[in-house]
Amino acid sequence: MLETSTTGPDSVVPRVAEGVQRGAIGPMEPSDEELVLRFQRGDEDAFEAMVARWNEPILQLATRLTGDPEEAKDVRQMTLLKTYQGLSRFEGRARFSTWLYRVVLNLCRDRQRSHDARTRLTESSAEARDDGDYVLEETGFHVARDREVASVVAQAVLALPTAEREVLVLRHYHDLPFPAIAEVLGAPVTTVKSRMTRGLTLLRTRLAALET
Amino acid sequence: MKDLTPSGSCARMREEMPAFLYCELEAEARAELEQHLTGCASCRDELAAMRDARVALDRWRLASAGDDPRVLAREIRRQAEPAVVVPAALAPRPFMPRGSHGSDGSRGRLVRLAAMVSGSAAALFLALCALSTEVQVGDGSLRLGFTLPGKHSPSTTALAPELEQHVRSIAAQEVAMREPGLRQSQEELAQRYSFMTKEEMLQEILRLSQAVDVALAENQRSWDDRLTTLRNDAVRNDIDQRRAISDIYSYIRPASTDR
Repeated sequence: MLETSTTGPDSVVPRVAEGVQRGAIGPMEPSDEELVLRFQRGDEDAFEAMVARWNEPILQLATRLTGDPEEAKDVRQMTLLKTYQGLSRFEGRARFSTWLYRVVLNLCRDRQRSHDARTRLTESSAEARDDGDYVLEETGFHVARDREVASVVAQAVLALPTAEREVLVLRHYHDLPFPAIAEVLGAPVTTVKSRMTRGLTLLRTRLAALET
Repeated sequence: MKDLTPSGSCARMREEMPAFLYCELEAEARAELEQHLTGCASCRDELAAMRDARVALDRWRLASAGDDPRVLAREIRRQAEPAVVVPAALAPRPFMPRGSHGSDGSRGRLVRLAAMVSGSAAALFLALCALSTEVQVGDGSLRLGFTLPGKHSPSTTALAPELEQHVRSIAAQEVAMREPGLRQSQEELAQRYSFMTKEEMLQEILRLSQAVDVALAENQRSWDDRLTTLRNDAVRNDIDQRRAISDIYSYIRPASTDR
C-alpha cells in the first residue's frame, strides 16, 4: 500500500534522480543559448556540450512517453539530429529547452500514432530485463519488490491519456514548472494545471485498481 | 444520498492542488487553499490521493543509459552530412546467378565463367583506354568513338548534359514520390494542433508549406552538388586516363624504335 500523508507539500520526499531535470546546468556552465551562439559561430565543441547536457533527459522523457526504450533511443537520435541541423537557424524566439522538448514530444506523438507502444512496455521494459541496456533502476536490497512497484507505476503512467501523461512526466520527472510546460505545449497554464489534476487523480485510481 | 460533486469552490481548489504539491503556489493562493482544507474533508482526501500518486511516481526510476556524449555527437555529425546516394537505377547490381544454391560443381563453373567474363571485360576496357575511346549514350543507342594515339583527344564535356538530364530526371522522380508523404504530414500536423483556432491553424499550415518548399529546394540543391561532384570526378578520371596512356606510350615508343 502506498504511503499516505496529510501534511504540507514539503513532506513529500524523494525527488527524481539528479541530472535528468531540465538538462541540469552547473553555476559555471554556459547556458543553452550561449552554447547555441557558440555553435553558430563555428564552435563544434558546443554541440558536444549540448549532447552531454541533453542526451539523458531526452532519452528519459522519450522512454516515459513512448514506453519503449528502443523507440526512445530512436527519438533521441532524431531529436539530436534535428537539433544539429536546426541550430544554425535557431533564432531564440523561444527558449532552447522549450524548442527541444517540443521536438521530443512531437516525435513521440508521431510514433505513438503509428503503433501502440504502451502495450509493448508492459510486456517488455517494465518487466525485469537482463540485457543491461536500459533497465529500471535497482535500489537497496528489495530489488524484486522495487521492480514490481516500478512496473506497476510505469503501467499506470503509460495508461494515462497522452495529454495528461505529457504534463505529468514533464512536471514530475523533468521538474518543469507549469508555465514552462504551458509554453512547450502552446496551451494556457490553467489547461496544464487541469491536465495535471486529472492526471494525478487518474493515476491514483489506476494504482489503487492495480494494487487490488 | 451524499452529493459527491465538488462545489464551485472545491473544484477551483482542486485545480490548484498540483501547484500546491509542487510548491508553485503563490503565498496568497496557498493560504486560501490551506484555509479551505481545514473545513473541507472531501478536498483533504483529494489532496491526500494526489500526494499518494506523486509519491508513487518516484518509484518509477530509469537507470542512466551511460552513453558517451562524444560518440553520440560524432554519430549525429556523421548522419547530418549529406550522404552521396547512388540512385537505384545507377547502382551496381550484385551478381546473383540463377541456381546459386546449387551444387559445388555448378557453382565452380559459374565462378570460372564469371572470371572469364570479367577478364574479357578488363581486356576490352584496357583496349578502349589505349584507343582513347569516347562513349556516348543517347537515343537508346550506344556510340563509341576512337582516337588514335597522337591525335586530338576527345572531350568528355559532350557526355555531361545527358548525364545531367538523367540525374535530374531521377531527382524529379524522387521528389514526386515524396510529395504524398509530405502532404500526409501536413494533415497530421493540422490534427495535432486541433486546439488552435481556424486562423492559427491556417497560419501553421502555411508555415509548414513554406518549410516543405524550402526542403524541396534544399533537396534540389543537394542534387546539383552531387551532379557537380560527378562531373568533376569524370573530368579528373579523364585526365588520369590520358596521363596513364601517355605514360604507357612514352614507355612503349623507345622499345619499338630500338627494334
